[in-house]
Amino acid sequence: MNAVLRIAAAELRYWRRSRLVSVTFGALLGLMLLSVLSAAAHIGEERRTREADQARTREHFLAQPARHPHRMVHYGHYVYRVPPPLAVLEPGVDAFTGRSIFLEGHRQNSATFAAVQETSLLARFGDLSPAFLVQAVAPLVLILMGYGSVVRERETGTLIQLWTHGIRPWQLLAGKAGALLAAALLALAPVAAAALWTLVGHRDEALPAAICLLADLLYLGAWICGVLAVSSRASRRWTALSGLLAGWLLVVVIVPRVAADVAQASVPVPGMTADGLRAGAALRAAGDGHDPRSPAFAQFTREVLARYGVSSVEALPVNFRGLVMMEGERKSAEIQQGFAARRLAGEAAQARVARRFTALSPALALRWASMTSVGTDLAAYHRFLVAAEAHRYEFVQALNRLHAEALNYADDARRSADRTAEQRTRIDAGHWALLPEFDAAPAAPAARAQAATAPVLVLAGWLTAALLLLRRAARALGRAA
Amino acid sequence: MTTIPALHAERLSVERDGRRVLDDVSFAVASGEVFALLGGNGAGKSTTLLAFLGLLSPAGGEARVLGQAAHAEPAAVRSRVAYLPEQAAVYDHLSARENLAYFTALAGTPATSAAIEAGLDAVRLVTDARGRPARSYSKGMRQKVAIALAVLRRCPVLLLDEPTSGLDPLAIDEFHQLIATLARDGVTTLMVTHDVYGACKVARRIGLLRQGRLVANFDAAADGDIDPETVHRAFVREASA
Repeated sequence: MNAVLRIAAAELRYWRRSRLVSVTFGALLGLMLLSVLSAAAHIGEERRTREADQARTREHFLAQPARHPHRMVHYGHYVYRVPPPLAVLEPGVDAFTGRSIFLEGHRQNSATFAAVQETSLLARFGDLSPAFLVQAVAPLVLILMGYGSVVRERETGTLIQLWTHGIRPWQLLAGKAGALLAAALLALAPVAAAALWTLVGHRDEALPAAICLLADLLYLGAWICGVLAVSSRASRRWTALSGLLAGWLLVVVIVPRVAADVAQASVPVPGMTADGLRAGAALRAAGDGHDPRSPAFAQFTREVLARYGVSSVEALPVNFRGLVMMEGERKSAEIQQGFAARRLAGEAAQARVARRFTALSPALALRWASMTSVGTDLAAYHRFLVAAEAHRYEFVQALNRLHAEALNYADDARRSADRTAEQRTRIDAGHWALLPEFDAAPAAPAARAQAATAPVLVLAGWLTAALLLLRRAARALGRAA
Repeated sequence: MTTIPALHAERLSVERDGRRVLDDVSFAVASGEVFALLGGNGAGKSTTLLAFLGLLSPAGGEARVLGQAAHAEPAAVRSRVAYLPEQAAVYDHLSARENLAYFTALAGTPATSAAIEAGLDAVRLVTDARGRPARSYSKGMRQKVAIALAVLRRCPVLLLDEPTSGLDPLAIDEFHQLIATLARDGVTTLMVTHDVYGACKVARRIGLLRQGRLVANFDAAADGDIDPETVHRAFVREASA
């Protein structure tokens, strides 16, 4: 066994005999195991429930009896956001964003039933995801294990003994780093096991899973080098510990909080409610599709009559009321989609501002890398919202098209007053099969992996910087040796 | 043919933090000889040891160990030198046996269990204590572990920094016997200390340092036994000068 391995083994033995380290590391391992098991059970249950709910809500839609197609537009349909398989590793924004959206004609509804809205504050505090443990708790434990690694040897005089036994500074630091790396790998083992377990049913997720784990390793590697660099330069154990704890607080707590605040302040994004109020005037001006005589549709009426070469809506070969519904839906969707696009662009801009703070906090870079690679980031949520709106528009317009093509204008116009006419405006339930299957799968694994390249490079930069710090510390030790 | 001294300070000067703490010091210690350096606080005693370990580079002159310049060939020098700081540096969480196994392995000369027991026998560390963590050891016991390490490593040179401070009279006596035994086996010892009487008892030659300069020498071979009172008076005179 060479000197580096001997030093690493000696450090591991020291930790085994230290009650503080044994308890702290044992707690981390226990939490890690618990959180992985809990996340696997929770995400698995969420996936099953939401997929079942999606199938059930579709069955309900298809099971509706013969009706006027516009009744079905307002009957509506729910779509559910199914968490990606690797959400076990990083739930990302899942708990904070709505699980489902009610889709109906003329309006875009918010996603609702976010997990945090349904749990108490205490329950939220207890939600320790594997990702949170890696981002916040694991560095803290590495600090507690490693802050004294070198400074302890200096304080007790064994550092000089090591030099007099022919140990070089790089050997000492490599041995200490090896021990901390072994601890980090052991702490990450449950996460890796969860990733492998997920891959059993989702082999195509191998690349994102590997990137997620690579990001974890780069992050913890940077912490290990930083901890050892500080321990090497400090003259007292308490100096090293207090400095490292201050660094942890800055990197894990303060900078991410400041990043979020700065992002919100620099790119104000109105909420959906505020947008709804602002869109109201534009929607009123665009006209109500339920009222074909609205002046808002006068121009449209003229164009339709001209296109079909007739002089009145009654002479049209299609149901004019259905055409107006389609036009009204097109105009209202255009207005609402404009607001939504600006809102999503604003949120994306906020995320970009927050990402600039990865230069100050590798914890932010890790969160960015893991959420992007597993598909639980803001972009994945936006993807769901866009897919839901496209789905809504498609099935509403398909029903409006049925309204225009399958219903007689005269029957439709007097259905409120004439029961038999109303009966004739009910179309066969077989038409409801027009409802397409909702598919809002996250971006392809390769695309997610590519998107995660930037934060992984940022983390590699952090590791490089920490290695340079460690090299400087080794040189300083070398001058004393 | 001239014999190379085991330790040779040749016009050795050392600066620390821009201050000259050792100034033009010269002395030589022959193989198997015990040499004591006396001096008050800040006289440069520990600095001399660090220079012989190659842990401090000389501003002038040289510190040579068995003919090799310590600052130029620190690895080669350290492989032949055992160093005992004032607080014998052993790992508190390891037992005497584990400390010896670890350090000898690091030095590239791993000791067998039998050799470790023999080393601990040589320093007369009580058997019951050998498997206990060193945090439960007295200072004397810790020093025995450190000396056992030197024995196991078969180091021809021993550097001791205030080895008897804080020891009870019985432990001091035992320690002096140990050094004498090692000297008979050919181990060269350089001991820096405040302890005038202990130095006179164990060393055949004594040097007196004051503010980084070697100001007096006492030689038992030339003067018969070194008179502790003479050394003590010189020590007090130089310390108060």
